[in-house]
Amino acid sequence: MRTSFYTFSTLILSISILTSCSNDSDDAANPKYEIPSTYTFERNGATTIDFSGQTSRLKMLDEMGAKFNTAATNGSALNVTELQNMFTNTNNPFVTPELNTSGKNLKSKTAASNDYFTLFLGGGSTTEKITVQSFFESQFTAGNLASQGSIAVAGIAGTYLDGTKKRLFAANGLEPQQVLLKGMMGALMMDQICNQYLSVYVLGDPATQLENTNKVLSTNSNYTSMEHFWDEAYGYVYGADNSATNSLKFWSSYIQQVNDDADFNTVSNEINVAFRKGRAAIVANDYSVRDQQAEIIRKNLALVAAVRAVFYMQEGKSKLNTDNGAKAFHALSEGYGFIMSLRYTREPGTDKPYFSKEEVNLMLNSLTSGTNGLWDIDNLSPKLDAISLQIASKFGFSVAQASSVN
Amino acid sequence: MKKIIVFVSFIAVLASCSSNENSGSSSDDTFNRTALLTHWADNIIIPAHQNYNTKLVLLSTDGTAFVNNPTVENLTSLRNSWLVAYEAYQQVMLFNVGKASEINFKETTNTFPTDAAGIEQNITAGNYNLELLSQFSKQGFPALDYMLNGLGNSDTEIVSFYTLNSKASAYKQYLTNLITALTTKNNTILSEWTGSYRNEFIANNGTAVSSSTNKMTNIFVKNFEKDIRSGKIGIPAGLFSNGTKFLDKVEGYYKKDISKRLLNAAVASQKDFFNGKSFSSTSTGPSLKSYLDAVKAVRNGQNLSDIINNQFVTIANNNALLNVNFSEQISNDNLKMIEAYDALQQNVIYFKLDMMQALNITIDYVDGDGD
Repeated sequence: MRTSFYTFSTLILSISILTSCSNDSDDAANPKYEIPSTYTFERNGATTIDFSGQTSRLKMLDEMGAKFNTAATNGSALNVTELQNMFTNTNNPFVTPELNTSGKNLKSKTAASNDYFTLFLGGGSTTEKITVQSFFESQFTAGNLASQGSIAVAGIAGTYLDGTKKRLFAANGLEPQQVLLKGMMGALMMDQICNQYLSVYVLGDPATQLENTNKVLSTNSNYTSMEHFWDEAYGYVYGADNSATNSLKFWSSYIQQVNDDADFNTVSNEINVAFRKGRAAIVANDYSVRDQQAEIIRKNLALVAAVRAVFYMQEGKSKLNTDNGAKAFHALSEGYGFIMSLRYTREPGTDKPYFSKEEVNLMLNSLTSGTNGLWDIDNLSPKLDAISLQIASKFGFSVAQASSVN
Repeated sequence: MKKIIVFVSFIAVLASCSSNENSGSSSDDTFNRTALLTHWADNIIIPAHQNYNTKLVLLSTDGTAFVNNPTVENLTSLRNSWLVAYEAYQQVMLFNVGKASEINFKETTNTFPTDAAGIEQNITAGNYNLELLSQFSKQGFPALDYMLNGLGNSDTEIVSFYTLNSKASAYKQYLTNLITALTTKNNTILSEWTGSYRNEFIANNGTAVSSSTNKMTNIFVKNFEKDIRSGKIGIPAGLFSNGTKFLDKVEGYYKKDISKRLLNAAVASQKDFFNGKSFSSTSTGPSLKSYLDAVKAVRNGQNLSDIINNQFVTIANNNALLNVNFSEQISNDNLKMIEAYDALQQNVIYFKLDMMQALNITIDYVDGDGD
């Protein structure tokens, strides 16, 4: 059975791809199926959408971030073991019971996409994956060291009162919470979206494609596995949003913030339309349109990361003269995480990120290369400008365009 | 991820759309599969099983000597024979076709970690059927590892299980039964190969999924991925368990100093098979390498077969850095294990993506990585 199945799937796939070789731009521009105005897809009167796994993971990360806030606000020690358990979802670490029983965990999906970390495209390897996972775990320890009661000064981890909000800073000035949250937006979300669920190696798997073409549904589900993969990408962008309270989380929030800048005010719509159009294309077995939409999403998500990285570099630069620079470190830490995210982007038409792992590491190392890291404020501005220019140039916008939201 | 399989054919087609920097054409596949299969059977597979048989005969002889006279000296001889046979097994584990696959050759010969408690239960109970699925982890070389290296902290203490222990005769019987089971299995496989199966294997020379070439090539890749990369390195190093390491899941756990030797033997066998090296000489014949060269398989302008062989060199270099005892390596410096894994994985990628595509062979096994 398997024999004939695979042979057949290969044949079908070959035909569909061969079709995509021909000039089908007219079809792409005017697909013969409806693109819904919201991300709503049904089969036999029931939704076919499911990204509960993504929602769970985003909520897990949200709870982890809250631990840092609590420790900073209360002046209590950040519990490393607790964060470690949250990272791997062991010993029921979450306040939300559903998360404990979700069967999901963050760590196994961190720097773990098929394309970069199984197929080793884009310079990835298992060694990198393990290093990245350990790096995030090191932020728990860094947060713990900062929560021992000291005030943060150059070379000393501790708390910093940023207006009315207390923050935990490592000895080099980086804020472990922001490095974790923004970094995971790259290593978890960006990577899973761009290099797993929107990947032609995953979506275009012959068996997956054949099942979708024939609308063979996954076990106990109302969706095909390809529909589900696409939803999972969608869920990593929008999965923790709450429309009732108009609360946006993670990428969804930053897409909106970048979109609020007139220089980039198409990005939100482009991503949203591409998700709907690509999903409709999957339903209609239109795989060339599907792949075009995936490229649109990849391009725009990378742009959001790039604009935000530059924005925070520049915001940080503008605050360096306050509190010996400490006022700038929250922004710079956010920017640090967004720069990390660039390593997980996927440049359309290629199998690699916009910035390689090595390029990203050079930027990150440059940021903390001074004596006591960020505290070396006398030498920091040129570095911030160099990084800003490097990123902006790559994406074809100006530092000025990204540095203010107007 | 439900299935990370078979993007092979997909990429083949993609390549036809784009420029062919990654092309591997099989359009002119006139490769003589009969000659390939004949060489595999006559000069590699059958001699390897014969060699393994020779080692098992020695193991059996030393086993009998030890059971008849359990001394530290005889234990030392038996251990040596066991290790030599274990190494010879690494040279046949790859040939999981025909009878071998039918009789669960791999599973009964080398399931690790072994179930020490289960072994003790068997010894106490006295009646057990090693053919049952539930018994896979209580026999084979890993079970012998426990019986010869794991019963006590010193040789004298180990020998005492076969002399002074109240169940000494049961221990001796179990030891004998384990060796007999290994010998019987290989005899069954060998007689099949030297009987009708050789011709059957060669005659199945087509290009269907069930053809001998396609099946053997799949087994070649699967063995490399699952049994070598994952089994010997990835699983104990914690790469499938969110970083939780398993020092007791290394091969040769009780002997402590053979994991590296067994890994090297297994990798060398894969490399030799890829290059069509005859088992008993340095001469080579038709092979996956010559097949790839015949269809002019290239990757980024370089011969795919060269890329794969270069990667085998990288693998050897990485493995050379490992401690002979993988439990220690994992415990002291797991990064080296991960780097060894990465080097192996790179060839998995070349095999699964490039080689299979170039030879137009579909992957017939599924990767499980559920979300």
